[in-house]
Amino acid sequence: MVTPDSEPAPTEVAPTPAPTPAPAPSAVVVLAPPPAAPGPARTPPPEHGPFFAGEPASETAFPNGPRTTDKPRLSIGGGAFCFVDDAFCKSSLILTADVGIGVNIVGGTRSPDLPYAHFNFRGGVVFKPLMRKDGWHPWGIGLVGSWSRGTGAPSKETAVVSPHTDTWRVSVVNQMWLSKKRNGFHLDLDLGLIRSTVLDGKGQFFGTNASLSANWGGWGGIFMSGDFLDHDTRVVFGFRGHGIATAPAIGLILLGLLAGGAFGGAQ
Amino acid sequence: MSLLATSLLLVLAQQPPRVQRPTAPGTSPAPAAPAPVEPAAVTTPEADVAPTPPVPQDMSPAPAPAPAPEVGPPFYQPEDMQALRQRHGQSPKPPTVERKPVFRCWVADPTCGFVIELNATSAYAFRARQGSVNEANDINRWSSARVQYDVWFSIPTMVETRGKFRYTRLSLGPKGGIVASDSKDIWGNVGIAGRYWFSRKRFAPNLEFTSSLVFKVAGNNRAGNFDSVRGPMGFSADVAFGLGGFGSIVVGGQFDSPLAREDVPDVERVSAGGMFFLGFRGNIVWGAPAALAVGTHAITTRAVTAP
Repeated sequence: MVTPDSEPAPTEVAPTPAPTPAPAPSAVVVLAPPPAAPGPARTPPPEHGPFFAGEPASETAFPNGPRTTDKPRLSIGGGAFCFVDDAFCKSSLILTADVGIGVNIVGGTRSPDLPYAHFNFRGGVVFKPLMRKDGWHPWGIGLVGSWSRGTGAPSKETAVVSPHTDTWRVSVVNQMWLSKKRNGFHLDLDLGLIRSTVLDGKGQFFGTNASLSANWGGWGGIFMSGDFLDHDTRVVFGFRGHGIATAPAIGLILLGLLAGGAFGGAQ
Repeated sequence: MSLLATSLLLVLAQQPPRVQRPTAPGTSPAPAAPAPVEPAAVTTPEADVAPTPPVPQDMSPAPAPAPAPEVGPPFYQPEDMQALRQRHGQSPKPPTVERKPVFRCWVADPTCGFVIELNATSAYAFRARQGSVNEANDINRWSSARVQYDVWFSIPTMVETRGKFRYTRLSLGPKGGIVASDSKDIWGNVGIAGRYWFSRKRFAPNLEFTSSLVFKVAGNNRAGNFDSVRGPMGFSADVAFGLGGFGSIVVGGQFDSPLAREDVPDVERVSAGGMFFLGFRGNIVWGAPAALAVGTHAITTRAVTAP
């Protein structure tokens, strides 16, 4: 049996919180904090990650990277509205362009399933309605509209019956932010209504759109989207980028085509 | 009982704290030889604690009186950090200031972390396409150019640390964009791009590597009009050696898969094709890569026609 005289009690198993240098009545005895208010030493630190984690406490940082105390990039009102969505934006502008490749699944025996590619422009707003002041919430919701031009409907005729396929969409965006970090990762589920041609018909019909995307902040990401119409389904996988980054690329490619005479009959 | 506890605490408080102090080794007492422990004295931690008189709720063991610099963290002093740096081959004076990139962080830089960049490629392209399937080895080959505009999400996936600064060593992330060549051929591409930095300087040499799915988006259709065009999914890959995020010399290739299944109508069939290319890729922010790409695209559209 170890007696108190032979060895002091290990400090790790002291029944009270870690001592604090509080004013003491004597040099060797201090009053412990009131039991009702246990110190932080009793509370284990919260687990960091993998989801819903903020910037980890660190003594290092990228010299020219954003600081944790900085406001969201391209925002006004301290994140009340952001032109590029981010984890701590209460409302944000959605303005993206994308390209994608997939398949046009045609019902019946009219045509085999053929490749389908499109480019798309998308705009709208998203909100985080449950994010309170000085708080955070992973859920966001918004409304977006988009227009895409895709490959024409399959045809067995030599002449192009359907040179391209235009589609309008209005969708509700559900965001699930998996990170509080800057340019944080989030999954978006878009569900909505589309209006487009069906096969090589001239009429416009309504259908359903569903899209799942993996995004980094408001800069964009990769997506998988499906347009479901009667006997005409288009599933596309692609890359989406914010207009700040994609608009110059679109402008330059159009400028090159224009300067090359592509719109003036040059072959 | 209270008197006994107070006495015990007085005794405990006079014991030196069992904390290893890295500094002032001369002042530390020499470690005593471990005393043999009687088998009967080996007890469980619960047994160690059990005989200890209960400490009153309003009192706790007092911390041992110690010099002011050693009261709390950091326990290591500057001389300890220097010894640690020397032991691990680090510079004795880590940087405390760092340069700023010229275009903020719109051009990739090891000091920036996450970067969104828009790169333009201008390249000579040696193109080829399968000819008539009724003739053996009928392949059309011609010289052309390739223009590409890509958005890169450069996410720092491997970093190095100097002092309190962090630098990107390897960035990796998704990318996508548009590829163009002669005959108004326009492809989309979706893929991944990476860059390994060999130093931390403004014009740090680096190795870039990308791979992507490539698919036809637009071109001359069967009626001869510039419009959407169908094409199956191919792939493209390249490697490049660059300086900073400003520009690089790129070598790569692209393959366009054929669409020639038996059930596909003849008018929808597409021949296999592809290209090898060698050129220059750079960030459009500093101008020259964008101007070069537009010029290359315009000249190619006017001067080159696919056989």
